[in-house]
Amino acid sequence: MAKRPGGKLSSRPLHFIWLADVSGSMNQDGKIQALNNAIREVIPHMREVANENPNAEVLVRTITFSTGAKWYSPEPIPLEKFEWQDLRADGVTDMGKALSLLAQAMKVPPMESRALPPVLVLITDGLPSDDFESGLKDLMVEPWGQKAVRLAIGIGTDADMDVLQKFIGTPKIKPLSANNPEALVQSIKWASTVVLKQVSAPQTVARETSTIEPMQNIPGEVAKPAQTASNDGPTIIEPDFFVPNLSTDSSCDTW
Amino acid sequence: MLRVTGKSTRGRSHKNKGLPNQDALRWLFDSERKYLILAVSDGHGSKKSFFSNIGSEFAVEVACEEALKLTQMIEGKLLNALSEDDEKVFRNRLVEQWKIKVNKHLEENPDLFNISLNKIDSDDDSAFESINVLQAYGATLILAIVTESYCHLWQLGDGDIIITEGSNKPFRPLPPDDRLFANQTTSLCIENAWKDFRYKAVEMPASQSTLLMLSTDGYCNSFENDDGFLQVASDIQEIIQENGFSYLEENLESWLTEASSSGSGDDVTAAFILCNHDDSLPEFTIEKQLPPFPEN
Repeated sequence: MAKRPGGKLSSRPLHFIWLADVSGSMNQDGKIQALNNAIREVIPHMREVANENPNAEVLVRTITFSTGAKWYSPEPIPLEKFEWQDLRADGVTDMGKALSLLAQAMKVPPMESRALPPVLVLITDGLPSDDFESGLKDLMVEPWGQKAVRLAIGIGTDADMDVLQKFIGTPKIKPLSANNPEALVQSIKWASTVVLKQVSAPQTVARETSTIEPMQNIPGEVAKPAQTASNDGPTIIEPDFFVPNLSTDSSCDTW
Repeated sequence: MLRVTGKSTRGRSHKNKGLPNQDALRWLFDSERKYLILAVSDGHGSKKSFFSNIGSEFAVEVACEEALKLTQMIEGKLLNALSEDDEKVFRNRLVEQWKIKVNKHLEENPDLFNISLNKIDSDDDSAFESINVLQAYGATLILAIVTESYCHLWQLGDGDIIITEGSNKPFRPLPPDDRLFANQTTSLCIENAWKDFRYKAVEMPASQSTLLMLSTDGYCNSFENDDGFLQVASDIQEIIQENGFSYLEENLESWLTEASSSGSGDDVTAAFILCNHDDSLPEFTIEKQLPPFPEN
C-alpha cells in the first residue's frame, strides 16, 4: 500500500475528570464508601461505552477536595487502564480550590485544542467552605473550562444545589440529587455513560445563543422565511442529551 | 498549469451510525481554463442539522456557480486582491443564494423535514424546544478561485486551507478564528454569516510549484498534532514529484479513509491544487516509468 502522507494518526482525546468531595462530612452514613463503590461499579460500563467509539480516547483522572485540593491521579489515564482507588474523607470543603486547580489543567497546552469537550463531574455533600466564586471564575477564564460539559451530583439534603447549578452554568442541565447509595450509582452511571457517549461522537454545531426562537412549523406546512441563528453574545454547548429524573423512593433515603 | 484532485469519504462513526457523508466537494474550470474554482463544505453533525448533507451540497453548488459568475463579471480584478466592497458583495451573495436553495428545498419537502424533526425528538426523549430552520441544513464553506498567478481564498467555519510553495514549510494563509473551538463553528446558517468569512488573495510564486490543500476538519482532527497534519501538504508535494499527480489521484481516497478510521472518525474531505509553472514535471515522471526506447 502506498505510504500515507502526514504524521501519526490518533483518535481525539476526551478528558473525563471527577471532582470528588472528601470532606469529613462524607464519612457520615457511609457516603464516602458509597461513592467509592458507585464509581468502581460504573467503570466497566464506561469502558463499554468508550469501546463503541474508538475514535475518542477517554482519559480519566480525579481531583479530591477537603482542606485544600489535590490531584488524586494527576496524569490522564486511559480508561482501559484506569482503576479507582478508594478515597478517604477528612477536613472541610474547599470546592473553590478544586476548581482553581482544575482550571490549570484546562489550559492549552496541556489540553489539546483538537480534544473533544471535556466532561467534568462534581460530586459533593455540602457547601463550599472557601471562595467558590473565585474558583469558578478561574475555571471559566479558560476556553476549555467554558466549553466543558459540566455536571454535578449532590449527595444528601445538605448539598448546595444552587452552587452546583452555578458550576453547571446552563439552566438546561440540572444538578442530580442522590439521597441513597442506589441513586448515587444511577447518577454516576448516567454522567459517565450517557453523557460520555454523547460527547465522544464528533458533532460539530453552529455557534448560537440560547435565544433562538422556537420553530413555528406545523406538520404539512413550511416555515418561511428561513430564520438564522443569532451569532451575537456568548455561546454554550447545548446539551444534546436528556437529563433524567433519577429520584428514587424517598422512603429509601439514607442521607 | 493547474491540476486538481480531491476526494470525500464518509467517516467511520457515520458509517457505524448509518449516517450519510455530510461533507461535499466540487470543482470546475471556466470555459477557457484560466480559472479553477474549488469548494469544500462540511455539514454539521449535530442532530439538529439533520439535512446538513444537503446543506453542504448546496454550499459547494452555490460557491462554484457564484465564483464562476465572478470570474466572468470582473475578470481583470481577479489578478489582484478584490476590493473590500466587491469582496463583501460576493460573500453576501454566497450566503443569500445558499438560503434561497435551502428555502426551495424546504418548500418542496415539508413532510420530509417534519418527519426528520419529529424523529430527533423521539430518538432522545429530549424535547428540542427550539430549532432554527436553517440550522437543519447548517454547513461550513471553503472556496478557492485559482489562476496560475493568483488565488482567492474564502473560509467560513472550520476546516483548513494549507499552501506549500516549493519545498518550504506549509502554512495557513488565512488568519485563525478563535471561535472555532470545541466542535463549534461559524456557519452559513448563522445570522449575518457573511461577516464571519475570512478572505485572502495570495500571489502564486512564479519560480516554483505551489500546492494548495483544502480540507474539512475531520482530516486535521485525525492527526496527533498539527505538525503531523501540515506534513500532509509537504508529503504530497514529494509524492507528486516522485510519482506524478496521477499517483495522488489513485491513492487519495484510501489515505483519507485510513485517516478517518484511525483518527477522528469524522467525514474527511481533502482536495489538492497544483500550480506548476514547469509543465514538464508531471509528464517527466510518467516518461520515467516508460521502458527505454529500443535501439535499432
